[in-house]
Amino acid sequence: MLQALGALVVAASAAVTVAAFAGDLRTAYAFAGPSIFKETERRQMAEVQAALTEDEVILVVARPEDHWHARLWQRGLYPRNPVAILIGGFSKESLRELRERHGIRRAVLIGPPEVEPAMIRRRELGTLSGLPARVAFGELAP
Amino acid sequence: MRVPVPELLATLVLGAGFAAVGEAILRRSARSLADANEAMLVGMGVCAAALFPLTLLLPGKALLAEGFLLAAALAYAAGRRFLRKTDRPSGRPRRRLDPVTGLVLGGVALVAAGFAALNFRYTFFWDGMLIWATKAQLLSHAGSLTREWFPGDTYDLRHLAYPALVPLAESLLGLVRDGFAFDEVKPLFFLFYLSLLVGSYASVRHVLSSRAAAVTALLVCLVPEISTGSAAGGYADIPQAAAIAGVVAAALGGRRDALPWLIGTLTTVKSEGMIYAGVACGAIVLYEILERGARGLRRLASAQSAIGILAAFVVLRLAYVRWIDAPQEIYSGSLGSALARVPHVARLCAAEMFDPRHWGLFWPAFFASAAVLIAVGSSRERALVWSVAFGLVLLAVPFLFTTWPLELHVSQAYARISAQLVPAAAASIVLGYAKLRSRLVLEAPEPGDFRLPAGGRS
Repeated sequence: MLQALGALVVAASAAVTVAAFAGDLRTAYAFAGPSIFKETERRQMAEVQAALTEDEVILVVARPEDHWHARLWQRGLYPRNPVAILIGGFSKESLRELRERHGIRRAVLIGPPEVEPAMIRRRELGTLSGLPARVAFGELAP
Repeated sequence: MRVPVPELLATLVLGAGFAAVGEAILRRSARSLADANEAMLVGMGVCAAALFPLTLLLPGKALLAEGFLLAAALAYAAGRRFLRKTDRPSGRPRRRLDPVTGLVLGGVALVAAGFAALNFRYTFFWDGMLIWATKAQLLSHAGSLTREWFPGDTYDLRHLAYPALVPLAESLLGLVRDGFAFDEVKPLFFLFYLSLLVGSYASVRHVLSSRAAAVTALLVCLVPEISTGSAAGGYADIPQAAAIAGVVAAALGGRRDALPWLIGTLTTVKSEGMIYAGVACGAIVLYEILERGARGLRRLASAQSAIGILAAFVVLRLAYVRWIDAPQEIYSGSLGSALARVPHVARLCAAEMFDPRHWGLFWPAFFASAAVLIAVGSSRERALVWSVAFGLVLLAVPFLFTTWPLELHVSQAYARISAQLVPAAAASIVLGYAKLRSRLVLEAPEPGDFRLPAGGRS
């Protein structure tokens, strides 16, 4: 009886783990790539960095649903270029304060974001890898 | 699947370096895999705790100093082994495993291979990337701990105060390789996973047969939260669980010299490590009271060196948090509102724990074993199960104060963090089973069954 109960516990653990592995292996081998940064993102980031001076702080503005990608851009451009992020809505004052504090002149827009800062020159960089969200880069209006 | 051989070799060198530091601290050479794992955990904890004072003493050079320390310890350990025949692995005859134990260990190896397949394939998940690997990126760039996060980001500043063990190991891996790269540090988590399995096996092997120890390791790796999902996504929960397994192994094995260092290591992995360190100390006090009464407390008070080691870890952790001085925006609220939430939080956490789709029958088995051990277990076993139960309760307390939507927070976090206690709970399950079996089966146990090894304690 005790052995049967013990076997039941192990069998139940094995069943849930096999199910978990099946789902995870399917996801991992269908979607995960060799790098956290997809080729598209690497190309877009390289294009942006080519236009920035070393240590220049840049702004990334994104929708809440693109939060992960905004953070990826932040990590991908660091340490050459520190990145400040604005997610979702923001006021003109908070944008101005951020720009003044860090001397920000240029921005990457992902989405398009809910609130777009005014830009004087803007370049489309295509979409996020495998997603409809568009990425644009440009110089912020003074 | 691409097996990242260079990264795995670098991980192995790093693990050996930590083990060498641990051996130097414990003043003994590892003679088994369990010894090596214990020394590695001690070395990791000490290096992680030392990073903060090194940051203050050598700004910008602390990481490099840690690298030199590891290299020197590794060279010293290698030289000592080369020069002293007595430090070679012991000449004890290797006992053959019985077929059932071999089969169970084969199952463990199969699940570990599955974890490796996921870990090497998956890139980082949310916290793995945006907290732990990011801290490693900052540490690698600054060369020491920093109070700077990304410009304008105040909400995530709190991540700076998280302990340093995982980011340190990731950064040191970058030092061994050609600089920090997000895509090259994932194999490190396979080392933590192996450490967790070795620690789980060792914890029960100290008191029961190799078959029982193998079943413990199997129970641990057959928990989805341990072998799949965020565990393979670079979160710090597996390293924390490995540290807990190390503490349980040292406690059940009566390894008094390593125990305070290992309890200290708990504080260097994740913030909840301070809770675990407190619980572990409570378990030791409970054990002494159950075993020796008031004399036990006097005995504890006389263990000044162990108390000093633990105090050093705790003081360093608190000083670091104070140094960072990051705003805490996730937990707030009054005691009154927290108390009003108790029934709701208890219900949500219980629903998470007893969800058979995620846990099978793991936690019901633990509570059944806990009842057995509390009734008829040794002082050590009682202290173990009480500490797991108390740990499960304490892990739910922060939810009483969360500013996040409660259901969301509990569903995202409780199963994952309670999985850190799995090695201790799995050991309890197997100990409870063995205890009940020894009571029920009056005839002599069958060969290779869950019996005490020669000289073992119950």
